[in-house]
Amino acid sequence: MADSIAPEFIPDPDLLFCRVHWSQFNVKENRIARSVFGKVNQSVDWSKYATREETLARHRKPEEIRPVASIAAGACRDLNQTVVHVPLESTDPGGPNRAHSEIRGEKSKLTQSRLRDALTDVWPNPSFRPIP
Amino acid sequence: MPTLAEPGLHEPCRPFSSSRLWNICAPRDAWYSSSVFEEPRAGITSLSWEFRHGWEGERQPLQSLGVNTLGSGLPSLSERLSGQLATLADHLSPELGEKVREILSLEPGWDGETAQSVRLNVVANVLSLLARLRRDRLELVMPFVAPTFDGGLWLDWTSPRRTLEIEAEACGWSVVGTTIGRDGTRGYFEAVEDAQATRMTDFCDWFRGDLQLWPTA
Repeated sequence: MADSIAPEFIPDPDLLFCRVHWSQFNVKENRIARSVFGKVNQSVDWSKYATREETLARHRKPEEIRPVASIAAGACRDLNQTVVHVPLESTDPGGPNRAHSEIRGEKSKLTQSRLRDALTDVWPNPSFRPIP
Repeated sequence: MPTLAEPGLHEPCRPFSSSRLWNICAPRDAWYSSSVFEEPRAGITSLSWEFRHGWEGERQPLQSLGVNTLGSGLPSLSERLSGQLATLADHLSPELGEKVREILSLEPGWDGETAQSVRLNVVANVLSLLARLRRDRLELVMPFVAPTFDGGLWLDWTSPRRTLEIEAEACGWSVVGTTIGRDGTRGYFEAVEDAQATRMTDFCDWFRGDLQLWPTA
């Protein structure tokens, strides 16, 4: 399409933002479940085109997100994952989202654990609302 | 609502064609297991729900357990099973019971995308495993439990120097142990256990530092 957004290369140092559902976050240990990285095509937002707040706001129920976690693209590649920019058009589900990217690749349980341990920071959601 | 192991078991319950509908695949010496059976009687279908506590079997008609099989307004089968599982989790620890209730309340798509509800047979298997570990290792603390996107459960024990992660697989259990050195360097170790999970106490002993199963950081 003439007006589609061209995908770009995501440099290794750039951050990818990942939402973490409340059920996958251990508050006591400040630890994220590795299952956050349980999908072959794991959707994330590229920091070049999104803030953590914007990533949070794009969720269907942002109040159910506990933190937004960050991981460097290079750390994903070090674990045999492919990091690709997949901008979403307004006609795409979840679009438009120029920041949308994917961490692609088979993720063994061990790889999921290593991806989780490679997270660089965990930003708490100020609008998180505990379940009643 | 959480989903049962086999397709076709919906709410409210409806007649089935097979005689054995659903089975929680638990180790032979499981502290808890249950099965759902179909018993055609006089042209109608009724269900029985079997519990085994230790080695003692007890089988009761489902309707006697107050389960809605005909849309009568009573709790549905999966609601009833969910309640039973949460109560079993309470016996292990109140915190675990609360977490299991929260997890069982997750609807399909809880992640905002395509995540499945946690399968009841997975919850039962995990509780069975934890009960056995607690029986064999009285002082074992209960792990943090979280859902996976495909309807499974992830168990996580953490300490300053080691972590132990366990997840139910189709044919057994995945185990990942991590050592954390004083400089923060991590070492990873992986194992696969069969459905009987016979070595699981060894992994717990390793986590507690009582067994040299994997190298120390």
